[in-house]
Amino acid sequence: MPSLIFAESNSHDPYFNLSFEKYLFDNVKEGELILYLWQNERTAVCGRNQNIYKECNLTALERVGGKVARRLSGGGAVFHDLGNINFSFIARDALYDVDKQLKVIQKALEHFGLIAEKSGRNDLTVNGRKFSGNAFHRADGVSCHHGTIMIDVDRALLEKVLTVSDKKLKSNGVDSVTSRIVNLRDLNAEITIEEIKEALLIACLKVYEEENFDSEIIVGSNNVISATGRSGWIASGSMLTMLQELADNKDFFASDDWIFGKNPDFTATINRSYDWGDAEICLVVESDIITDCKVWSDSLYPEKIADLEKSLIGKKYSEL
Amino acid sequence: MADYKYNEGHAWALIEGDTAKFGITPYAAEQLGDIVYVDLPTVGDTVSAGDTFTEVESSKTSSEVPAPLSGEIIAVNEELDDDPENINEDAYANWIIEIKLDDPSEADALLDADAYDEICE
Repeated sequence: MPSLIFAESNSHDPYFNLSFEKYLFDNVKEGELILYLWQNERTAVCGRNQNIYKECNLTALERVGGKVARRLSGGGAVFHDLGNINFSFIARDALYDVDKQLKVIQKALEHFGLIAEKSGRNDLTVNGRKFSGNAFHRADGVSCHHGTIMIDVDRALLEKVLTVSDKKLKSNGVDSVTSRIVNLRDLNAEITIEEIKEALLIACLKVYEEENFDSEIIVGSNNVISATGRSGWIASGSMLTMLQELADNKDFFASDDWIFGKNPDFTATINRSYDWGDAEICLVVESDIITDCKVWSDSLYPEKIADLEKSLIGKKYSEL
Repeated sequence: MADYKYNEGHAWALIEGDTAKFGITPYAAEQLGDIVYVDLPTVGDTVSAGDTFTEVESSKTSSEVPAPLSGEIIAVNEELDDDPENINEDAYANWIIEIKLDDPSEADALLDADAYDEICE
């Protein structure tokens, strides 16, 4: 019998939450549709093939103790905080249907008297203003469609984090698209995270009513997942294997190799002052490693310039 | 298209002696829509049949593509860095990587054009 599986994370750690999502993605079976709900503390999440330095203001993020993450899906950078809730639909090809999945979000909003419309391929809007950005990923016949739902996000911080003034960075990769955004709380003061979660589950059951799904709920909290429900989804594998898989996934998502090393190759120009003079430094960066460097300076000490060039090659750009 | 072999992950392989080029099929390119990025692996790395050798991002989705055969990567098509959409125009001409084959007989397990067409229906 086909099952509808509701999964929820009690953690606000973006690396755990992405790891849990990947675990669900890697283990979903034929006939299962998973709706996974999760929230991250302040985090900039960039698309799989984006240059983080180009899309996220890391200084602004660090100032508030925020984190930076990279997801498996494509598309543009988004900002999460606890005023945002993320949903993921995960299924193998036969059950995966983006229109139907979007219908779930639309139906959940109807509960609060709001009409949500699809805009372009990847956004949901109310009155032309975006409250949800969606992105997609596929591997081995499994697809994931996930997105944000802005309830009460710190918009000032969002704008700071996703605005990068550094025009001196040239990179291939995928650019983010800015759009007019709105918090749903501003459209209906009654909406809370808890209520939207409930509305999403009810909407999901309604949209998939005809499928005659069995349903169950699994919850993850940092490194433990507990499962309830008849089919014992989690119990089908060994608990130890599952915990190991989750831990490996988390190491992967939290690694500099994935977050910074995945940046498409780029060139950057930075200005620095040294006791021997001002320098304009041009860098070529491949997989976070500085592979070439040229320094321009009016300094009277050319050997300093040569030393600086030599010292930078081979260093990690993320550690400059 | 007699010389092309396929896997079920919508990748093609064109074998030339003990090397092979890989790409994605026109069917895959059409399903993906406008391709905006092709994640090229590093020359010198090895790939195993069935493991992801590239990830292609389109305006619709990011999609991991499994390698049809195993071997060491000897070239990547760097033109795709600047013009990933070339694949939409001609998915056969725009190969993604070239490998030195570990074992040419692995190709016996791949699909021919007719068998591949069947799985696309």
